[in-house]
This record gives sequence, structure tokens and C-alpha cells, in this order.
Amino acid sequence: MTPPGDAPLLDVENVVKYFPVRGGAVVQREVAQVRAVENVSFTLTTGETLGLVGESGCGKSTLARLVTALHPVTSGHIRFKGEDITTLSRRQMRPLRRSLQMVFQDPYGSLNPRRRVGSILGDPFSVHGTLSRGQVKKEVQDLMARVGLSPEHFNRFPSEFSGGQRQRIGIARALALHPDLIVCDEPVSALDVSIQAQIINLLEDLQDEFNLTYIFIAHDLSVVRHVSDRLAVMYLGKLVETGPVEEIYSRSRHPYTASLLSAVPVAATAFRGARKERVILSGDVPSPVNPPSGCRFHPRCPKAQERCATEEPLLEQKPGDAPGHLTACHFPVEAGEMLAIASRETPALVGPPATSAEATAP
Amino acid sequence: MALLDVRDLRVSFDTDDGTVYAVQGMSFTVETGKTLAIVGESGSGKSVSTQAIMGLSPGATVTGEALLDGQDLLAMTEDDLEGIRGQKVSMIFQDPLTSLHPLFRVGRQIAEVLEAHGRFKRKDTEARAVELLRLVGIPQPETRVRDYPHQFSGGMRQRVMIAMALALEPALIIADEPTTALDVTVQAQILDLLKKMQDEFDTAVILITHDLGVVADVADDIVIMYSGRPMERADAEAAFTEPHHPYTQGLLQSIPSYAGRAGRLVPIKGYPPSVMRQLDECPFANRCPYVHRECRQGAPPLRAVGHRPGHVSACILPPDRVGVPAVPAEVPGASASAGSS
Repeated sequence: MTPPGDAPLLDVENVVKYFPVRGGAVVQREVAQVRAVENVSFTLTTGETLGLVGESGCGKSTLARLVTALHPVTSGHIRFKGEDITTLSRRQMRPLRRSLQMVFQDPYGSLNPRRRVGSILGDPFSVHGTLSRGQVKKEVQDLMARVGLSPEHFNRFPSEFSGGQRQRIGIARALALHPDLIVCDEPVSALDVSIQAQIINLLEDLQDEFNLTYIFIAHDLSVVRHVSDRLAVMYLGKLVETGPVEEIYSRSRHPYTASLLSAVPVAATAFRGARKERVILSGDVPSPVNPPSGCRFHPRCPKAQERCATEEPLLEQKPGDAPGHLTACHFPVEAGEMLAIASRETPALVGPPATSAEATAP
Repeated sequence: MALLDVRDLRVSFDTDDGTVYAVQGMSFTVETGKTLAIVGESGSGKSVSTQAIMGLSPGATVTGEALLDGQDLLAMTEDDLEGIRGQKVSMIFQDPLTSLHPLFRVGRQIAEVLEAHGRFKRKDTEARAVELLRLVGIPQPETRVRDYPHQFSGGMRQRVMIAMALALEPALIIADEPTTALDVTVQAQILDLLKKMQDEFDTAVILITHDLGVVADVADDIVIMYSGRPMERADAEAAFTEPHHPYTQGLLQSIPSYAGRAGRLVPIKGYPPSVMRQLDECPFANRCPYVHRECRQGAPPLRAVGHRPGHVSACILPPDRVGVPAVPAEVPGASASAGSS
């Protein structure tokens, strides 16, 4: 099942996705385009986890749906096991779908409330497989046991399970046909922290057992750091930085990544005297209908200069960075550099970062 | 004297399926100018507690005391409470879009707060609304004051909510998951703003959240709630560095940033108990790695632990046994057996 040689499992090349914005009183005309994903390229090798982060509206979920062929691309290529899935017909796509699965954020909304768990989990087999009813039941019960549900609950409805258990059902469904790639779109965001840890451990165990490849989308950066091998940071439809996860966490080069990481309140370090300087970005993410010129981050960037507004930076390896660590910035953050905490729109609001003397652990 | 002193608060709801015991004996105090964080998972009763105090839980049976400057809010008539809400205590909710009226301009909505308590005349309110919007960092407040809520982004709407909450300079702001719906970069802006406003007006804040990172960042004191009860109460540093209750320890061990990249997460096994019955044992007993027979004989009361004043925990373990256990309290892989409900 592994692709021949060193070929990546997934190769995403210059993928673009525009959604039409329609308007007009009588005839609905296309009046604008939401530029959700623009020129995104990355590769994934088998067994790897890519963490995809960014603020809401940055296009990370759209990208996930392009990769799993739930949306057609506007342009670009997505090669899965060497095959370009952007050119396949629905029929040709079908056998590949079993290898490309998805786990969704909302375990309440993604399970049909009127169907029993056994029947929900039996679906993948009846759609793609040729198993008899009895075999399906056995497979489903094995699957339930594997994700930590008791097989006796085969005949229960989703409403009889808690949020964490429902997410286990969602994972079991994705796992049913032994996929190669699972795209997890905010799989633990709706769960409480103690349950979240159970699900993360489960996903990690399954990855080891079945040599799964994950694209892991989450807005909780500490979760992403824990599960990912590599990280891809998106801003307004573009990749702004990508590389090995520890490399990016320890020395992020893009000012957006740096401020995103600094904005996360971290329970663990706050009282170990490691509370860091916080970069507070001004303003909100601009509209993807009409993104800023040049570097899309420049209106909010503490390091922006004139060049940033006119010339779009390329995603490339910067001098001194590890191979595979790519940054799209004209003026990357240097090691030890403190980004200005200045927020230009609301200068009166910028106080010293919320640190205090008692923040140092004894 | 504490600004707000809540004692043995109990809230229950009668439903078709039986009685829901949402809060079963909550006690806490809030000091002027300080931030108290109430932390708990969904269904732990953290929001219900504060709503009940403010008389915002219709149909609930509420007992106990909630003394605000010595006056018991729970004994007040609705009219008296009207005078308190907005003026002495105001609230900020998670979702600013549903908390703002979509058909009124934000300036009008802020003005309404000002007029409701008769402290401002109508002609002065617009100027005051502009001033408040400027205070919370909304650019061009003179024009934005005439915009509708949908014309603001999520972060800006939350700023409008904060402006409304601050309008009458209350002594206490109850912020119920104020940043949960926001992106981290915007969350940082809002937390920063709240802190700044708090320093400026010496306002006390009750911050209700499930995000321990946010708590570590802004709280002075922390109450950990579980299944309608306080499990542990401590100053923020003690709660994070010297937790006593196994539930608090479990929560901290569940956070990925605690485990670091290499370590495996240590989840709390199992699921919280049903709130449909009143437990006469420690509510955490079924998930606790240290459970004793004694834990089943009545819920343990809060008692002093650790070595800092005010640190209390509802656990029978020796009081000096504090800190996050270095060795996982649970066998890895045990989470997979957590299937029963």
C-alpha cells in the first residue's frame, strides 16, 4: 500500500480554491470571489502528522476538504499515492475515498441521531465492501472495541453517548476501511480537557498501530504541538510558514507565527517563570474577498515595511534555517528578536504584558 | 470584607426527566479589584452558579447566601436586583452576537444601559457611549457608534460588550467564557483589555472558563468546580504548582503543554457522574486514581491544605500532599477501557 520509493503519500501543488459570491436582485450573478485557498503546496509522507493552524477563516478547513476531494479545486494538483485526484471522475475517485477519511469537529452534528451506532459504523462496509451482514457486525464490534467503546453498545443511538464517546464513534467510522490518510478537522475542540487527552492518546495509538498519516487541524496550538511532526501555518488562504514542529515553536520566522504562538496562554509555563512577552496583533483578519496587496499580513504586521505592501514574499528557506523550514516573509524574525508589542490602531490600550513578580515559581 | 461572599449555594432544576442538581454547595469569595476564576468542564455548574446569584435562572430552586457588600442577593426582590444588575454587577457572555440586539445600533444599546439606571440624561448618553467605545479600543468611535452589531467582527463585538459592562462602572464584572468564541490573537487583545479596564476601575472580575491557559494568565484566585461542587480553591500559583485535589492534578496532566512533546498525555479515565442525583460520596471517586473506602462515605468537605493561606481542597488525602505527580497516576492505555457510561 505504501507508495513506491520516496514518493510522498500526498503531494499538494499550487492548489487554489475560489468560492463565488453571488448577488443581484433578479439574476444571481457572480459579483466577487472568496479567495479561500491560494497557491498552497506541501507534501506528506506516510506515518507523518501535519498540523495545520491559523485563525478562523484562514482556509484551513477548505484545504482539508480539497485534500479529501469533498470540494473540487479551482486550479492546482493534489496527488494521492501518485494519482492526481483533481482530474478523476466521481466513479474513478470512489475506490480512493476509502483511503482518504475525515474526522469532524462536532461529534453531535456529524452522527445521524436517528440511526444506531452499529448501523452508522456499518455504512463504510456496505458502501465500499462486499462483506455479509454477519461479517459487518463482527467488524463493527471489533472497531468499537479498538476505539474504546464497549461492543455491547452496538444498538445504542448517538444521543446515548457522551461527547468524548461520540468522537470515538467518529474516529471508528473514519478507521473502518483502513485508510492511509485521515484529516482530523478540530477533532478535540468540542471536548473537555480531560476527555480531549483521551482522544489525543487514542489517535496516537491508532497511528502507531495502522501507520496512519494525519492532517491535524486545530486552533489549540498546544494540542497541535503535541501531536504533529510538521506544522503548516496559514493566513488568509496562504501558507506563511511550514517546517518541523519543534523548529517552528522554538524559532518561528514569520511574524504572524510568532504572534500567534505568543498569544496562546500556556498554563504550564506561566508559573515556571517562563511567561513570555506577548505580541498583541491589532485589528482582525481582513476579508478574503479582497485580501491586502503584497504580503497579506502586512496591515497587521509589527515589522511591515513598504516593500511588504507591494511585493508578495515567496515561501522559501531562509538562511540559517533547517531544511524544510520555509517562510514567506521579506523580513523574517531573527533569533532573540523581540517583536514590537505595538498595536498601531489602538496605542492607548497597550500596557505592559500581564506579568508580575509572583509569576515566578519558588 | 469580601466584595462578594457566596455561601453554600445550591441550584436545582425540576425537569420532565427528574431533578437536575446543577450546583451542590458552592462557596467562594471575590475581593475588590481581584480576578477569581471559576474553572470546570461542561456541566460542572460554573455558569449556573453565577446566573443563579444574579437571579437569571428562572425556574430554578436556589438556596444559600450571596452577600454583595453584605446584602444577600438571593433574598432580594426582582426590583432590587434590577438596581444591582448593570450598575453594581454586570455580565459579559461568551457569544457577543446573540447578546447584542441585532436591530439596534450599538450606541443606542450602550445608551440604554446608561439611561436604565437614571444616572445619565438622554442628551449626554451618546457622548458617553462614544467615550466608552474609545475606551475599549474601537477605532473611529464617533462613526462606529451608529453601526449595527453585524457590522462588527467577533472581537470588536466583544469589545462593545465590555463597553456596555463598564458603562456604569460596576464593582464586579462576571465574564462567562468571554474569549471562548474568539481566535487566540483576538483573545489576547480581549484579555489584555479586560485586565487594563480592571486596573483602571478597580473592578473585581469573576472569570468563568474551561481554559486553564487563560486562567494561568489572568486569575488571582481559582476555584476548581466538578459536578456542581468546589473541589479546590487556591491562589493561582498554588493551584498550578501545588494542586492538592486529584481532579485538579488530573486536569493539569491532561494539558498537552504540560506533557510536552515527548510525554504521553495522562487523561482522567471515565466520564463525570450524572447530575440527576445527589451524590453522598466524593463526586470524583469513580475516576480517582487514589480512591479510598472513606471517599464513598459522604462527600469530603473543603479543608485547609498545602502551605498557603486560603488553599482548601475537598479531598481526604494528607493535606501536605501537594504538587503535580511526576509519575503518571494512571497506567497508559487505560483510557481505552473507558467505554462505559
